[in-house]
Amino acid sequence: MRCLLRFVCLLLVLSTAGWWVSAGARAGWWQTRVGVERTDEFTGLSVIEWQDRFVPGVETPLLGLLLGGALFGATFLFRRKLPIQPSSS
Amino acid sequence: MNRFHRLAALASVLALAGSLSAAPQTFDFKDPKGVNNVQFHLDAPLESISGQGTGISGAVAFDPAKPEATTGRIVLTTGSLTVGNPTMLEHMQGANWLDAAKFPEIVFEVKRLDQVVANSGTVKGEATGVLTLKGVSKEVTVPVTISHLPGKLGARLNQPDLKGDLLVVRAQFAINRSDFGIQPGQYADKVSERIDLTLSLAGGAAQ
Repeated sequence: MRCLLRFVCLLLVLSTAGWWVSAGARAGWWQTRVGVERTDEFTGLSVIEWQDRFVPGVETPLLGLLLGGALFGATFLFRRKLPIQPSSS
Repeated sequence: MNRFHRLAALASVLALAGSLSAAPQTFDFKDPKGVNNVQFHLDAPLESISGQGTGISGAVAFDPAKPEATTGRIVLTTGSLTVGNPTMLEHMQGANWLDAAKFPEIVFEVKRLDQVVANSGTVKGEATGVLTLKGVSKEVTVPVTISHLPGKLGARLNQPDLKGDLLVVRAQFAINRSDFGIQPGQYADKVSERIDLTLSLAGGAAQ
């Protein structure tokens, strides 16, 4: 059980960090909208058009680390099963 | 005497035509194509913030023969300013920062254009005017590039029957938020003191 939980911790930390890096390793906070630039052909002026899209911010790997750490700490609550010692008497 | 009257009338008509051609045109900056915008960028040590405002209206009086006499008023609705993070947007519009409910408009009142350099329809210069933000008015000088496109209004709006000129204004400058009473000296690590602004505006003068 301990091993399984520790594996889940590692998976949690790595997957959140991996998601954050693959989405561009944004140093800012989460974004729920992303600006896409559009250019007016006639004047050459640019305007940002917002699209609803989630971009993970720096909270994502931090949250993964926090949850993973908490879960890792919880694994110490499980007592290791000791091998039964044969009675000497 | 009759001949004299006719000559006088002709002279008056010519003088009126001359004054009309020399008169500045008033360009309306409420853009039907929704392109007009002000982009802002703040680069703080902990976070960069970028966003845009598109609620632009106002008018500019421009005379290609006398660009230094350019005057006008550009208005940006505070509520149209937006960023990608909803919590940040809420804070930005809130009472502690821009207070959009109490100060719904950001206004730039152009008084004159200095250091004018005109070159084939494009005018470069420094626009001096009063910028009012969060109820604080301050004189600022902004480098601008103005392109006057005669007879192009209809073509831009895909309305060939619409006659009129187009005025394209571009400007890039920076302001300090503390000059306008926006949390002066506070949160400098997260919200930069300097705000970089980029104005991209097109106005039309229908004939």
